[in-house]
Amino acid sequence: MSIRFGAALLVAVALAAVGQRALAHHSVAGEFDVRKIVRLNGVVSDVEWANPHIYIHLDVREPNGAATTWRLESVPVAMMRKAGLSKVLLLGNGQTAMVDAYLARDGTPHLGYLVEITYADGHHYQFASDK
Amino acid sequence: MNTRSFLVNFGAVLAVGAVSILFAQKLPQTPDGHPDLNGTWDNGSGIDFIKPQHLADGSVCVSGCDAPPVAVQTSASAPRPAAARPPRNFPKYRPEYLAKVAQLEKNQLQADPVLHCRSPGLPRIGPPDKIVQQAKQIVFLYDDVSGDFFRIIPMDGRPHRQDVDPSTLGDSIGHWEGDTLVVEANQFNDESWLTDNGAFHSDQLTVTERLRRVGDILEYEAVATDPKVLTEPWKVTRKAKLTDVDLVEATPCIDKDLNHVIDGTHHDNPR
Repeated sequence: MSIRFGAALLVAVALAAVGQRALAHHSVAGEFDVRKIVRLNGVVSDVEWANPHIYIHLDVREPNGAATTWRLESVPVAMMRKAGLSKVLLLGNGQTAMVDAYLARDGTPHLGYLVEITYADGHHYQFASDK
Repeated sequence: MNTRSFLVNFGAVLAVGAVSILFAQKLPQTPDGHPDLNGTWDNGSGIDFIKPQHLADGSVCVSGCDAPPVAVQTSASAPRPAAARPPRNFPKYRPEYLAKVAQLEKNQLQADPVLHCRSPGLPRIGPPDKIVQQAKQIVFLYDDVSGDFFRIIPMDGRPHRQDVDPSTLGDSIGHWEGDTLVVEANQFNDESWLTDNGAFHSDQLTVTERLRRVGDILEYEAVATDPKVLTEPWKVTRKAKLTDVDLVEATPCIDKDLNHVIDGTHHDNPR
């Protein structure tokens, strides 16, 4: 499952190098455009704590006032656990959060890959390269 | 032998003996005199390269950090070309099956069972994540991406069952060879792969696993034999470390994104 021009490729290349049991099940770059990062502001309303990928739901208020829920793919459960993170921590006590995400390459609206989430109190979790 | 050389040799024998006894005493044993394999065994789960960075305010960088681990930096400038990869430990197939392997590898997003949350099978699932050891049976527990799996391994000398349907984990029986636990499995179906990249197997597969505890390390070896499709047995070895972090309840595996993968991009995904 690692590099600098995108966490997805980072992940893919490192995995190939170590040749070990992998938890990610496809290259992130195959699904998401690691060169297109969108910034969202909203509230984490749900966390799908599942393999092979965790998803967080981010309720975002669009400029026109409409509410939209983004589904943001993240790392496998084992990786999240290794980082000491949990569903409760990702929910962030309902505080607002700023999220950077890669956009889906197939154009699916409101689907992205979670790069970094920064909560209103300032703490943040990073899962991919934001460069 | 003069007195001096005798004393030197005698001393050496004593030293070796003392070390052996010390080592033997360090290895925990069950009441029936076998190595104690009970416990939770961390094999790294393929994410050893992940080195989370924790900050004082509770922030965590899991991946893509500004100061990534060395293993990440080495590949930072460009993707490693396929030719630069280390030789992979891949089963050797009979010539008539090479095209099938290539086709499965090409189409693995659709064909790989584990990408669709199905059982990885043996030996792809790897060493057990937890071992519950009793005198007459040993239970292997697995916390896998595809879900939780278990194997019950009779240790009382009984033969393989004849009344079970073939499965991805087969029918297992075990015995001790000295300090090594040997598990033999047969009665597989052909629905799982030996490893990633199209490494299918037939229903003629048999697998022999050897587990040996050395201190707090579990040395694991699995040999897959499938004369119908392989030219020779295929061996994988792994190590796991005893941990006090126990398993947790099953996490569901629900694929929701393969339909969004637009170019078939994949990476090695062995267990």
